[in-house]
Amino acid sequence: MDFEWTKEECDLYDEVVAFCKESLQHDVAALDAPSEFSRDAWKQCADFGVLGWRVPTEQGGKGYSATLSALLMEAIGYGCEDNGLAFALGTQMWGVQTALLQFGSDAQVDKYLPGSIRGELIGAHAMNEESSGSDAFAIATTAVPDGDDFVISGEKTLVTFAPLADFAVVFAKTAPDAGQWGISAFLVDADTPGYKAGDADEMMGLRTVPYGRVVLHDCRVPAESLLGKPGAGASIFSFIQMWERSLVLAPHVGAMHRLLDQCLAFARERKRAGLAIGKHQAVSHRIANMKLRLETARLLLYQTARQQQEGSSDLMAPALTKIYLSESLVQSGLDAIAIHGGDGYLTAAGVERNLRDAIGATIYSGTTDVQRNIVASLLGL
Amino acid sequence: MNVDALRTYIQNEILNDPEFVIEADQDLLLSETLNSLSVTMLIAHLETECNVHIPPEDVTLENFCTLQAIESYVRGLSESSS
Repeated sequence: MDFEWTKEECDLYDEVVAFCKESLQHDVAALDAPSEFSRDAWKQCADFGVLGWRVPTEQGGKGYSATLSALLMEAIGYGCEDNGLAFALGTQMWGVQTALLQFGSDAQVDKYLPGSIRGELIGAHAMNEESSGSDAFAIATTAVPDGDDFVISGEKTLVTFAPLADFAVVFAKTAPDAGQWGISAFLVDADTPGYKAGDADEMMGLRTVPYGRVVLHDCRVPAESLLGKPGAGASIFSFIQMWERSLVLAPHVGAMHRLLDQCLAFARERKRAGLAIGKHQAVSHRIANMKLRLETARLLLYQTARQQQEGSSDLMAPALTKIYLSESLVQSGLDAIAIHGGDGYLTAAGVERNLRDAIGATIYSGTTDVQRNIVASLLGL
Repeated sequence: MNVDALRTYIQNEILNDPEFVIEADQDLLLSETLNSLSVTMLIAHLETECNVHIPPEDVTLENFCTLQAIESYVRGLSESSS
């Protein structure tokens, strides 16, 4: 595969990095400590066009390909130190907007997509439940038909943006006896009676994007809220997961690049016994490995993005990408701390935050263990 | 792709058990003979072999519950695209 980017694409990458360095220089540590989300930064990203990158031009977006969007999200990860913000942008782009674009009726797209592109409407993806986890389809939430409506009841956990979302894609069983084949998806407005979002849960990392619960108690929605066909919820979820696994970690690649630059600068400047620490192999070999992980992660990301763009049904590349990018940033985060020594362990330096932010990706959108199950199955094991 | 070819693919490539008995009208989904991963593998195979595109919203119990249902659904796709 040829991953040579055009001059226009390289210029766009540079523009995004420049935008991040000019407009997204908020004090991340000040948001991280109390777990606060910057709505201002979100709006700046929307005004810059980020939330319309992958939306077709006829629907008000830029119409960028998945590969170009991935490259530009890598630029966000490189230029912006707010890993939670980059992750949150990805969940809107690859999760919520994908659901609307692929499965939404014209009325649903008209209702939600323009506001999503403008950054005025934030969507959530409400699938996970306390008792489901990696057995994603083992949900208990039900949607019972009642006249022209459905009445939804259940409780969703670990929902990105739950406390702030204006609407949610809610997965519920419309045919409880049909297992995963009885799951349907609904678009539910957060101000619907019976919909209640909980407070943000305290988390180890990604603390600048709120996670939480959504409780649905006799939440009545019209049949027009159904997203796609009844019983297609599991397929819709799997489709969205494929996009998320493939591309939501694009900012990780940028973050690996940022950490590499940071460690290189530190290794050149910091001296011990008159010698730059980068001259010690214990440091330089770590940095060489960071570079190796960055370049191999890029190849996997671009290959998978291209496959997704071409409508591939291949399951292997998204699973490998999810495993490799998530674990690579964790390892690079550990290496960055080791290179920085005591400074790296201090919160004030901001190095340790990258490690805390990296851990989540080994869990969300299908754990790395689940991805390895997929890879093993595809290998005939 | 006919029912026999479908059965052979599922037996050999998905279940890794050529002796596994699958009747044409036997439920494959509620019995969990096929899980979500194996359904996705089957879809990729059908798209390649039959030169059709299967939209994810069509992957429902109705279209994929039995060998007969799958054969009928894919035949409908092929006929509508030709």
